[in-house]
Amino acid sequence: MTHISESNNDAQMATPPKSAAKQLSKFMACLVGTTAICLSAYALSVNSLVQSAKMPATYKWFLLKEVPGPRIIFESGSNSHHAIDTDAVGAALGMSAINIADNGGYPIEDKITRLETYARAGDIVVLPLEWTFYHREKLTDNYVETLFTDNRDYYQSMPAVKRAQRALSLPPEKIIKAFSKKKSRPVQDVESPAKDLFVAALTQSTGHQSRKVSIGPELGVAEQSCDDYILGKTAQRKNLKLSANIKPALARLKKLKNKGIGIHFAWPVLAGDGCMSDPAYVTGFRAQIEQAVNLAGFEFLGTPGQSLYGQNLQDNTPYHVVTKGTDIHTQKMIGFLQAQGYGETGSPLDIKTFARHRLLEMELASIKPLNQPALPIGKPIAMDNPEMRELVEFSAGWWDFEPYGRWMRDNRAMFRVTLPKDISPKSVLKIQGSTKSGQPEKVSLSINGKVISSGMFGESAPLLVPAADLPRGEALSIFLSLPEADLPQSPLELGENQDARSMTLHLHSLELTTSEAEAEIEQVEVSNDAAPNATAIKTVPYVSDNLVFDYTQAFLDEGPLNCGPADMKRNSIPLKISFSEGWWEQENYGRWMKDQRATLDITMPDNGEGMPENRYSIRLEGDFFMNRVQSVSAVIDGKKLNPFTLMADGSLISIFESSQMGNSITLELELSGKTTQSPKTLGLSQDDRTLTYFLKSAQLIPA
Amino acid sequence: MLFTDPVFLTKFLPLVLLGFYAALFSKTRWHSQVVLIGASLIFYSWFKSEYLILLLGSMVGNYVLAKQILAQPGTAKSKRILVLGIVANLLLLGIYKYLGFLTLNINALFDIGLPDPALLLPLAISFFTFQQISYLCDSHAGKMEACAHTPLEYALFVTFFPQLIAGPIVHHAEMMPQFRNTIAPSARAIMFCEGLCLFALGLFKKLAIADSIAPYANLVFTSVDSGAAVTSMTAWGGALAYTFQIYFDFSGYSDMAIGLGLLFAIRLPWNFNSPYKSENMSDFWRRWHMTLSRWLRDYLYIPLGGNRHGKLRQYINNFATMVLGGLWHGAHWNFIIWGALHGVYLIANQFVRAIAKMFGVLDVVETAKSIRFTSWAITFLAAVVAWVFFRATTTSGAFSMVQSMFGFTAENALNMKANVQTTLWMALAAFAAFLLPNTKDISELFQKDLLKRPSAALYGLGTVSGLAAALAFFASLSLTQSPFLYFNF
Repeated sequence: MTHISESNNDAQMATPPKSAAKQLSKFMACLVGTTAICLSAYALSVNSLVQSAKMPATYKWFLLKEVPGPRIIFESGSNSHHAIDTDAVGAALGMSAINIADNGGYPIEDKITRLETYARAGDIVVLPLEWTFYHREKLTDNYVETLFTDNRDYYQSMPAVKRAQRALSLPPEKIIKAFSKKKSRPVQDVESPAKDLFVAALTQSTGHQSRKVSIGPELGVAEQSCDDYILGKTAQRKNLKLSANIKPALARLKKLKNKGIGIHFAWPVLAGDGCMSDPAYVTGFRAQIEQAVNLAGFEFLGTPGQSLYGQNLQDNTPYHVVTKGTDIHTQKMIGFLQAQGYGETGSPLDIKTFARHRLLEMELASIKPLNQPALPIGKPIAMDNPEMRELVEFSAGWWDFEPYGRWMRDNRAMFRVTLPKDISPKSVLKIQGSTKSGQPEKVSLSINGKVISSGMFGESAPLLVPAADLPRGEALSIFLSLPEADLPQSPLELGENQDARSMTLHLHSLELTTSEAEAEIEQVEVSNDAAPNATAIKTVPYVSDNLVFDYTQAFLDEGPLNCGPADMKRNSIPLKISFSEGWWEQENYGRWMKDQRATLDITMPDNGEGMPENRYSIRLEGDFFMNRVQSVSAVIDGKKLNPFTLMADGSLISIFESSQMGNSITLELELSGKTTQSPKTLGLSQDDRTLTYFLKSAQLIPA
Repeated sequence: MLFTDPVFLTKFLPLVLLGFYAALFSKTRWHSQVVLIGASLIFYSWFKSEYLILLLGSMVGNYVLAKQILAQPGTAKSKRILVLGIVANLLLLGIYKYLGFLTLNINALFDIGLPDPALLLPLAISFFTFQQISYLCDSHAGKMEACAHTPLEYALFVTFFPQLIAGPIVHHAEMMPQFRNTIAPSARAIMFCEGLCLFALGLFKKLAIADSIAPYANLVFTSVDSGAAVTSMTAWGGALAYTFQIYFDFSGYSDMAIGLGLLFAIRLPWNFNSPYKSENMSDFWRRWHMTLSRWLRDYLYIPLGGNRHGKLRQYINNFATMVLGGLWHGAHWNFIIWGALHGVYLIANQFVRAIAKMFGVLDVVETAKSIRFTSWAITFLAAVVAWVFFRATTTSGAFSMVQSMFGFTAENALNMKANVQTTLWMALAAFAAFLLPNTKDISELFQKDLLKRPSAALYGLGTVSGLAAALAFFASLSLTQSPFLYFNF
């Protein structure tokens, strides 16, 4: 070897250095260039995967980006989402308080990036960081998988360099998976894109939420001690060290502090027997954390012991407390903050009202130019007709389609339609619907920014808009406003049921017609008959956390019909469903149950396809006929499941266990109601099928 | 600090390179040596600073003994000092590496309840001990001059960080002259480029290939070690996965080490030369962990008598060398069995060759394509079977797996399929191991008139290196990574 080296050296010594440099620069240029091209291509691929949307993906992001300052911002994982009542903090301190704490599995560095981007001078940031933030170094699967979708705001809040760094930290297998998902189900523009945020604005207006009653320990909690759950087994706890991310994170927080943003650390709430009994982290790891934080010039509000509560206040994990715990801890936090000298006279911003208005403004601002087919003449466009209703774009202010109508969520909303070029001068656009109260209410209508009419609107008092003078062949922006419904209420607030969505006007149909061309738009006399569907549409007993799941989902709006397997469109793992007994024919967006009972067969994913667990949640999305919400029980392969829980978004969820990897299981659904009716018997349409539940999609989630 | 660690790649290495090349300007040789020794000690203490004393003590002790030997080489006194040195080195190695194993077995045999010393194996002890024993032996054999090497040169020979932790096991004769050579800037620049290329290829072999296969190998071996039986297909899948994992892991590490050495204009010896292309076991050991084979040959096999005392004695020497070579890897019966198996393989190979020679058909055996192919297949499969003992952590698990490989499958045997990704990586690994030129071949392109080659060759080498580096980087982003396997030895 030495011989080769020496002879080589001799040979090279004779080469003029200039020529050698020129030759070797070719090698170096290719090495560096190829590496740079590969890394750039990778970063750009990641960039292209991240959904681009003006609307924040979650309400917490809306709060951070939009609520004007100065604010008290609570940032951490789900622990603080449950533990800090920001309504109470805001009221006590006379400042807007928002809770943006989302998930303990998200990286601290990205959390600080969002504070760098959106926190402003005068804001106060409180960080009751969960213990895991201090020692975890690697990205979690959950975070990586949702960075392109539900967590896209984290990525979008980063400056270019940080985006590149983050892109170059994501595992290739996740990128490939995301590409295959994107290819199989491209993202489509969503009508009224803020509707999910609006639910959150109504139910958790400042971002926090906790359950009044514990739902019991989730899987894996009861089987281990509190300390094991929080920081791993004893052996692991002994060796806990601050992650390499903490020092730079503290330096960045220091810079934020220098910009006039108040930064305070706090300890995460723990509830349960035996929490923090191990000295390994009570005195060891805790000391490391405190030392690092104090060295960086920050202090903790309170002690770990002051954030420790008993088993009776635990919700589903030691990190989550029930509302009683939230109230107790929030009062402590208020005391800590007051001791720091915070608190202003006056009342804080009404964030719920602010969010309602701002979300509509954002929807309106995100509207894109539209080239839509013209309305047909003389054909009513009913909301239960999926093909016809595609002719209307519900741009802003609407909830989802429901059977036979679509609710305006607030007192303002906009939709867009296009009139044909050749219409009779006597044509009118007829808008039919009902109001939440069942009584006619004043409605003002403007088109392309110009007020066209104002009058009473109700079940038997449609709006009639002369079309002759309206622009044709282009999308008209039709804006509805209910000036006297400034404070819309939800069925929950009205004590009718658990539905937390506010609603005002229920749109049933639109029609471009000449039959009533002579009619003037005026205040009309209306009957006082209550609309049959003027009550709750969906019940919302509890709005879930902003926690993100990986799931398998079968959408029933595409793919083979007639009891064939529904194709998997969004995920790479196919969930095949075939309908057995009790269902009507497939429709564009789903399938109606005929009666109280129906069965379907689900082919379980293969074990080797990313579904390692044998415990799943099954989630059904759909609507009950005429909003007659019923409890739903189910049997899988003869084994009875817990009744389905109705979630905030109207979906139904139940948990089951199955080891039938790759095999078919039979799901028997049973509704609690006793009678069935058809739209015809109710006078809604000529449809004489008996209808109960309209299933739109089914998802399988590893539980 | 691993070679794949971002701290090593982005901070340690650039700083050391900067310091080294800055020191070269001083034109005083020991300046750059001090930089490299300092960097090497920091590198070593990064893992566990407590053992730095052990390394320094071993180094100083051996150097002093070598000086004593070199004062009067070949005499009875120097022999006594040599024996003392070897015993001291082996004692150190024995205490840390084998005392626990010995205690365990004595307790099992005699049930006398000796306490487990529970000593943690100091990193690299097997490597630096062997290097220093060879230095002492060669001092006694009169292969060096009395004032052959300065303390700094000796310290650099032992601690040079690219080879310190897991080899290649270097020989003073190939290292010391390089510490003194004056290398022209253009030659140094070529070595630098070659080093970058080798380092990139090594990274790719370790991070992309070995680490992609590792989870499946781990899954199968963990199952058999925990007492589960596996199907024949699974056993072969797991054994093949480990066969490729260990090759790409260790040869990737060696390539990185050699590449790093070249960045400092020091050429370390090759450690691998496509061992899975070997057509017999003797050939395999000339291609696998070449520096260990060389050491065992020069300092164990030949002193035992080698082939100088007849066939039987040669077989015994071969067997003993391989068993001790197995034991060098770790204090476990599985390593002894692995070494013994290879000893038997070597004896069988030599026996067959002797028979062929006796019947005058050795030429036919060595040239006929079908015989060569059969011989290659047998050699490879024999190596695969032996790897089972090397990888399994329990002897019963290893035997259970070998039984499954040969069709003796239990009733409830687990069938664990490799996923598509692992299968593709294994196919690529097999293709590369059996058919592609190895990094030594690629490296030679740099050494033979590189500057006179057409530009396309330089562009090609640069592109391949860049691609390997990028792919290794992408592979490193995976949420799971395996440590270098040879760090355990």
